Amino acid sequence: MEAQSMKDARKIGSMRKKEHTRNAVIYAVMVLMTIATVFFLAFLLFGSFMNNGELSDTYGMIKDGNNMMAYASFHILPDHFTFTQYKKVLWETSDFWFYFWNSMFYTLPILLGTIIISVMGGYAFAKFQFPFRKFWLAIYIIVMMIPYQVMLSPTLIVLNNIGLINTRSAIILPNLFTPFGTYLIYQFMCGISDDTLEAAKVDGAGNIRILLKIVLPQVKAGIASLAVLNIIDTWNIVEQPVMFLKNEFMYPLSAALSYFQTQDTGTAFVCGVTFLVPVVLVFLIGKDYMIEGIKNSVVGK
Amino acid sequence: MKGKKIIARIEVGLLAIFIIVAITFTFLSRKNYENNLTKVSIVEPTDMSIDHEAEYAGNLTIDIGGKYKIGWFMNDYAKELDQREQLTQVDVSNIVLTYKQDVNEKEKVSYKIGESSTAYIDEVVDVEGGYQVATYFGEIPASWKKDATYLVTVKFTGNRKKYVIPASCVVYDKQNDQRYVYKTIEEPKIWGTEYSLKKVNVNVIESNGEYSAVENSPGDHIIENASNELYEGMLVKIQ
Repeated sequence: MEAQSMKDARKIGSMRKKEHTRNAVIYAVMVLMTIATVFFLAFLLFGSFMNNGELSDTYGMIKDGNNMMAYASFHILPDHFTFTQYKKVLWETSDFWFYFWNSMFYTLPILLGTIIISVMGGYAFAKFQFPFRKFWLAIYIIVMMIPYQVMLSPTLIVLNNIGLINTRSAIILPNLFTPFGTYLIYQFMCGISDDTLEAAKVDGAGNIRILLKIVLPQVKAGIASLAVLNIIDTWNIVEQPVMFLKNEFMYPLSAALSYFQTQDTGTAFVCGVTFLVPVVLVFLIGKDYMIEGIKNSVVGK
Repeated sequence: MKGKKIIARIEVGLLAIFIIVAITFTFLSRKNYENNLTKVSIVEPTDMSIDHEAEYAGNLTIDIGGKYKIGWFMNDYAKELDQREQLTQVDVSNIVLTYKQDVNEKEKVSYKIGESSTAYIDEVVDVEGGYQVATYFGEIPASWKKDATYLVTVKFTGNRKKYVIPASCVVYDKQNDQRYVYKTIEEPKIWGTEYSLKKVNVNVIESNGEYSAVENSPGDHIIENASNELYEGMLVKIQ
């Protein structure tokens, strides 16, 4: 009896040891990944507080013949913190703000349109019976799997044929119809009991009323997560503006960053940091919803 | 739970502040940018004649026929004046020198314009390096003396020129011995049309210091004055 309990205790000890080792490895990998991520953010952030002289000292290259050998005196922390670059980019010139508002101009209509279309699509898939419903849903899921870069060329041809190339609609319209948004809301709506909806119908409520008064309040979290994901997605859009817009003045900030990078290093750093601010704040505000949304879209409610 | 709510409120507040800052900075940075632009005033070339008034030192001699001759040397417009149909008027004055002693008993010379007389250019002779120009008087003022130096002021209006611009528009590049003007060209920029500078080489064919006539059209919107030093491609604000 005693021998058995000692054996069990040893077994438990060995299991705990294994678990500790596994946790230690997981933590070590996570710490390394965090350092790698934070390093680039710190690099961007601290670089934006350097003055022009220090930037050229830090990132100036030492040349050996035709080869770049090393940075002149690479360091991350600035010797003298200064807001000179911020003043130059955000206060003395207004180009950055122009592209910032361009980004806003794309983000807000796409956000609003995506929510409306996704809610209606999700509601139809979740609560209506129509022919080939499962087939269409499968098509949605397949389309969701296709990388959107693959869809760029067909979209370009369609936009060209309907005369929308080089218009803001070329960016807004294709982004309104996201299969992921419809699928995400569909998953949330599947969790709503059909009995509730039936009861509402019996009481005389129409589909619109049921959607607005009963369904929407129950999928608030889904809509919030869709909104956060959509804002982040649209804010970082690059390929579509570059392909669909000939007029660079229509570019959103994300696509125009390359233009700022051609100016000088300080400008590029400041634009990079300021570009991140709204999207980081949106992420912080909606991170709980976002996690719930992603979890829900994968495992269902 | 309460802490989480407070953090969420702070995050929403920060986003709201960021949007407010973005709106404010958009307007103010635009204003700052416009204020920092170099301000320029522009002119357009005009079709006009340039008035000239040039002073020369002349000499009084007596001609074989007993006429009084004031002769002087010109190296610029004499040929043009000679070919004109109308007569070119000249004012001739003698120069009266006065000698005075200052407090240190040093002799100081001062001059003043004496008696004047008006005539027309009578003779232009091609000589080495320019033209010998003369005007003849039957009678001369009493104070005029033979072989003395006279101030000859030639006033004339040049031929009509198609492209006349203020002389301050023309910049001289000493290194390349080239004259040029800056003109503005419209450029589409993100906030609308802006004006950038383009250098246009010109050949000045006539000038009186105030106006210059150039051979070919330098285009419209020529920069006359600027609040800063100019360079090609510079963005400017037209006043």
